[in-house]
Amino acid sequence: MEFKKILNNRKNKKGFYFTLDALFALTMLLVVIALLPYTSISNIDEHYQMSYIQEDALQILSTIKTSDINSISINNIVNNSIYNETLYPNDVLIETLSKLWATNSSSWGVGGPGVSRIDNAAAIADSFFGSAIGPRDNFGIFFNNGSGVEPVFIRGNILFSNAEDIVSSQQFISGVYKGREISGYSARAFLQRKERINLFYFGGYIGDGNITATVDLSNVTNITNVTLELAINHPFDLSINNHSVGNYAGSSDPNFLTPVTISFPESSFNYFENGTNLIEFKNTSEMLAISGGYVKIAYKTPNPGYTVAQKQYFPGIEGVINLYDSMYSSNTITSMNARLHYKINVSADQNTTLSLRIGNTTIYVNQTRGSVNDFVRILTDSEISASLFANGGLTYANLSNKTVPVRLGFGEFAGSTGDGVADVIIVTDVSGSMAWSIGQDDSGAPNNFPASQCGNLSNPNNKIFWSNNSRMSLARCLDIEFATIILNISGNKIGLVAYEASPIRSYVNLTSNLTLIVNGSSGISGYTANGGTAICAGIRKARIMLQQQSNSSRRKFLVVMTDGLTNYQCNDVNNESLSVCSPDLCTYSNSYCRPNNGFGCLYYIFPVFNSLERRGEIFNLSLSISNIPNALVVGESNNKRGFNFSDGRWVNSSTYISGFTSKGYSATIFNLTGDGKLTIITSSFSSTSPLGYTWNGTGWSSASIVIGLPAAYAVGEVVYNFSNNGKFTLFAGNSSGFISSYTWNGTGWASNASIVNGIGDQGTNTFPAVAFNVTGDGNWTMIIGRTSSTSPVGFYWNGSAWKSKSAYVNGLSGAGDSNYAYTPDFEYNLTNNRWYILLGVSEYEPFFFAWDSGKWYKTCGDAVSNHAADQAISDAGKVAALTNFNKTYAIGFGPIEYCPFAQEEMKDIAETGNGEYLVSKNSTQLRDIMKKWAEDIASLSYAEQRTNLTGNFSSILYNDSYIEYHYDDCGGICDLRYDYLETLKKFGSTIIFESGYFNPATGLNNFSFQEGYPIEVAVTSYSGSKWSKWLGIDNNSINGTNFVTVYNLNEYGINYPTLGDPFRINIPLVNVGNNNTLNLTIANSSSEVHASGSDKIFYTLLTLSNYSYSNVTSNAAGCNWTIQYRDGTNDNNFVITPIPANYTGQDICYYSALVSGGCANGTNNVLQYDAIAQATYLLLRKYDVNPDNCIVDTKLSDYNINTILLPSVPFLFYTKANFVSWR
Amino acid sequence: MKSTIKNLIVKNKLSRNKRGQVWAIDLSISLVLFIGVIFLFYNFSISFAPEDPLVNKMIAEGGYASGALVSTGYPYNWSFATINQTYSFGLLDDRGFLDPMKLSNFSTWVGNTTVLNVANYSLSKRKINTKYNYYINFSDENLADIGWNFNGENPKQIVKIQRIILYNDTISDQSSYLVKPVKLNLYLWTNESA
Repeated sequence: MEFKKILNNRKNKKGFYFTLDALFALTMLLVVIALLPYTSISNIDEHYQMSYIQEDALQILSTIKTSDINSISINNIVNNSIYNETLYPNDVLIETLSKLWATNSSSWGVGGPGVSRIDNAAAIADSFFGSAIGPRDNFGIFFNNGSGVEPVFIRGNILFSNAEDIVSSQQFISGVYKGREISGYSARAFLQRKERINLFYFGGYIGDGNITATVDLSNVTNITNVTLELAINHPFDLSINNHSVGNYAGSSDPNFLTPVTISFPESSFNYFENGTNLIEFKNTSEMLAISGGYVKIAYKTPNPGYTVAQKQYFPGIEGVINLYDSMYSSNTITSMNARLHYKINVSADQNTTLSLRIGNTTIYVNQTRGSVNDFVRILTDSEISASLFANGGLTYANLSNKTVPVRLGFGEFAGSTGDGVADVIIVTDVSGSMAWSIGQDDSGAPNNFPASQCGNLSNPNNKIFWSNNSRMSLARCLDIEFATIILNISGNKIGLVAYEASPIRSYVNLTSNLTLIVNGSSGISGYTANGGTAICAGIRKARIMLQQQSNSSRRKFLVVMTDGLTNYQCNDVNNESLSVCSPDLCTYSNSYCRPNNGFGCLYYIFPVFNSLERRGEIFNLSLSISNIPNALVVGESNNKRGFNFSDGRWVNSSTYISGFTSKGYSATIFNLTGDGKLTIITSSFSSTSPLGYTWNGTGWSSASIVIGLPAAYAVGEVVYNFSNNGKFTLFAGNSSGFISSYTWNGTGWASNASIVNGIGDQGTNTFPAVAFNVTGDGNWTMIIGRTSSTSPVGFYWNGSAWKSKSAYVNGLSGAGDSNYAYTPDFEYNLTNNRWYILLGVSEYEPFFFAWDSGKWYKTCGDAVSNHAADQAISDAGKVAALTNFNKTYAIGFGPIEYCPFAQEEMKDIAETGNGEYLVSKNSTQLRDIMKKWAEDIASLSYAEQRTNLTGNFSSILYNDSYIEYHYDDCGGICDLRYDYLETLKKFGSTIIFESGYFNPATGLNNFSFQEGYPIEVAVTSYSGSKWSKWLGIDNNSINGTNFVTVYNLNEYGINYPTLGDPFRINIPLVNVGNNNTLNLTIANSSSEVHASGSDKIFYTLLTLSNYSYSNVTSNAAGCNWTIQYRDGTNDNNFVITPIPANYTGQDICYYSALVSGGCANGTNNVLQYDAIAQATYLLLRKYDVNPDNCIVDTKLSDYNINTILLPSVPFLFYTKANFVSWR
Repeated sequence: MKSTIKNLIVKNKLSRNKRGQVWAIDLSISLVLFIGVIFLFYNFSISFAPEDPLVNKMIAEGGYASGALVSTGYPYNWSFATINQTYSFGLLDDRGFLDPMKLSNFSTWVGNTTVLNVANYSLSKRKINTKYNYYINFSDENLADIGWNFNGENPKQIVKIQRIILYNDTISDQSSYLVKPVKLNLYLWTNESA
């Protein structure tokens, strides 16, 4: 109420109203000002936004291809036929708009008349942007190339003319100009030498018989060189079109992997004709086969360009049609046809089958009975394509862009050709010792796994490889694997002989039946161990089987397996007899056995004392291996003998006892007195003094080297620098059981008890052997034999005393015979770099041990027969003498590894058959070698590509037989670039390069190029009678490792005889880089090797240098040229020719010094406006060293001037596209 | 002009005796003055007042953020990565087209106002080069919006950036695809003062 009163009072005051209004207004103003920051939720900086719109629009229109938009309304315009020569699908959208704008005046647009091309452009832009750019965006596209700015698209609610703020971006569009054509012409001109080199390749194997190769030549004006390189199996008569050229030798190697090279005499060049030429190879007595090669012909021609024949003629063959070849299409094949023209002469009741296979698919088979007269069979495209699909599921695409093997031959390639022809006899020892362990002789009861437990032999952990398994267990498994590998190739056969002393336990005749071999009643699985070892009988049986069951065309092989030395003799009077001499029954009364002084058939491989020597004098046996290699002297004075070591056995030789009076025990010393000679000291337990001798080269001479040595000591060993004392030290045994030692002081021996410290009494009649580092432990080693024990004892020297070490006699414990182990003597490297120890015993022969991995192994642990071994070798030789015998393989199981005699025996058996051998107690090593041998046999046995047809048979393949294939000229990419390259190939300059040879050790080769364009790259592969199997390329290095496969025979299967074999393997050009490494292998079904050392790479390059280019012009017709050129010193030579050759116009051009008013000229300014004329002119300038004189400095009569026209080349002018935003 | 004012004064003197007219004239004058002042202030503040540093900053960041979005992002194939493995949320594929998979991943991870994954949203700001709240939508209604819409949040400042990108409308069915440009609208907003 009070406020109202005041108000009423103030109403009465005049100025009050004004004040109140002012306050009210002021308040409102303040409120508005105060709220302003909060309410100005300002949006955008529109200027900033404008730049985004036009920049994004520019980006989009310059990115998206017109064809990618896929808008119906846009497509209706751009795909209209009126724009065929103007718009392209790959044009980006701004290009499309600009072209429509530029050609606006040429005709109406789509929807015309009345609808301009700019209308079309606007419609496209309008459709494209749709609602993405709205009226408020105020955006436009303008084109401008100097004739003013024209809008093509505008969208906005503000007139551009009213714009206060403008943001713009520009894009240059080349080749587009208002009112001009969109594209013109450019030409390239170049010189092409009128000479051409053609290579005509042979197939991988052409045989067998007289052969005719077809060489097509066209437009030949003059042949300049002809060379022939080919691998051929026999000498041959060479002729061209029935004109004899000469007689030439065949390849030098039996597998004809090495080609011969022949330069045709110049006089023979005239034998060639334009058109089809026949090069004939004849031999009247041998069937010829060519395993690759080529004819290289250089000739002059007016049409020297690169062309690829699409018709591939088969060679003529008169003999047995047996062709392994290939085909290659560098493009996608669209159709094929073939012509086979042949003749077959056989007896009336004989069946033949002639087949043609492409890849792994048979496309033609003719099964007939009796002869076939001159017969022509045309295979049509539909027939071939149907056969490819029906028989192999193939289409032409499967044969395109790669090398594909082609095979033409008889018998469906089975049975008559290509099968394995190996006859292999596996001779297996089934004697009693085969029950012993593989690792050690007579070692109790080893595992005896049946064949069913052989398992996977590729697994080295297979239990079958345990060293405590019986040898029979392993032999069964290895035999089975061996037979499986051989019989894996059809046609191969295996025979079995299981021998012991009976002598032949069982055998299986040659068969291809693996089941019979493995599980038959006499099969491998049934092998058990029992009886003696009559190797000669086993081999003899094998020979008889091969003689009776094989034939001369079959390749024969022998595999001999044994675990020990043979101890049964065969009848060497009757070589067909399988009787053997038992060691116990062998007597003088037997007509063929060779007894050995009452000891049956056994001939010992170590020296044996006769009865006189042995009688009560066994203690006197003394062995000392001298430094004269492999010599041995034994015995006392009246019973001394000398031996030398030969072929694993000791052979009597009196040389080593010449002048020598043996006292019984001996030790040799080299260079004792510094004279560089060998000396020997001999002594005995008797009271006589020792004797000394020096070897004089032919015998022993007495030497004063025993001063200080007492009597009654058995000289055991003399060593140098014992315990680093720098002296000779002598160790001697005696009857008391102690060991004595003496040190050489330069003139005599001085006793030195410290050196035998620690040994003590070792029994009766001790005899020491001393050597350094026998077991590899770096210690001096002493082994003492004695007559008081059958076990020697071992010691090592610790620097001050000898310490007992039983490990040194591991394997020697109880090694003596029933009485004792005596007179040990070390010898290093008798064979195989091993330490050996000879141990004298009380019976006939000493024992011989070899140190291996911590143990002494008895080397030849059975009673053996020298003569029996010789017989086995002799019988093996008789096998090797069989016709078409290939190899003998000998394998020894178990510890005979340590027996030099056994090794020699196996080696000799193998060598008779030019084969290989191995003796080992290592099961996996044995398996590996058996497997390798099997694979080798499979390889060697293979008939490969030679034919085996015999009997009344002949055939002719006429050289008018062929395969023809057509392909898409563009390879599916008919664009400008492709056409351009094809034109270049035809009219450009190509050069054929040859690489060096493939490395036969690695199969690698390389080539590289920096200039030019490869148009053909091919590898030539001399595979002999094998197949070129695999070719890889690494196109990124000349030391490549990452290979891409470009040819793989296995792609077509592994039954190689049914497959063709390329000599030339083409490499698809997409796989070729500037630096390339290639890797090539050849193979048959069972083995693979690197490329031969005669293989190389041919690569054809299109050279791109010395070309000229014209500018882009609106015309490209050509001109009639008169060109002056220099030939030597003569300047007045002229070529008058239209360029291009088909030019029919009236324009005339000169390049000549004789033209007045300038040396180069053309009517109607043709050099300026005609692309071809201009390019020609520029080329001539390039070959004119001094352009001022206008005389070309190249003998133009040797060249063609060729030109290539490039249509649809964009001009160099441009238009600016402006993308504008405004407000 | 002088006479006009003089006439007004005379008229004013003549009307002093009319109470109602005095108030109306004052009010009219004050309104005219008021509106005039407001108009002048507005023009002054827009044209002559120093630019708001916050707006400038947001516009600049809008440029960075939209540039990031109109790229492939990093890694370029982040649509196969996790959010933590993604450093930059570019929405284009290597042809420059909107990548629907990237858009889907972005939308799934961040969400929008309806269901916003706050943690990922916060994380995503750095991956599009801004510290402000953002919201993205497209001119094509089939494309999902992403981020926190400012509607109802009473922001103190908003910046809007528009970009044009290519969108393959039916990417899953190439037989009937249509490539067209669409607008990407990026809003940066904040409740904070400069």
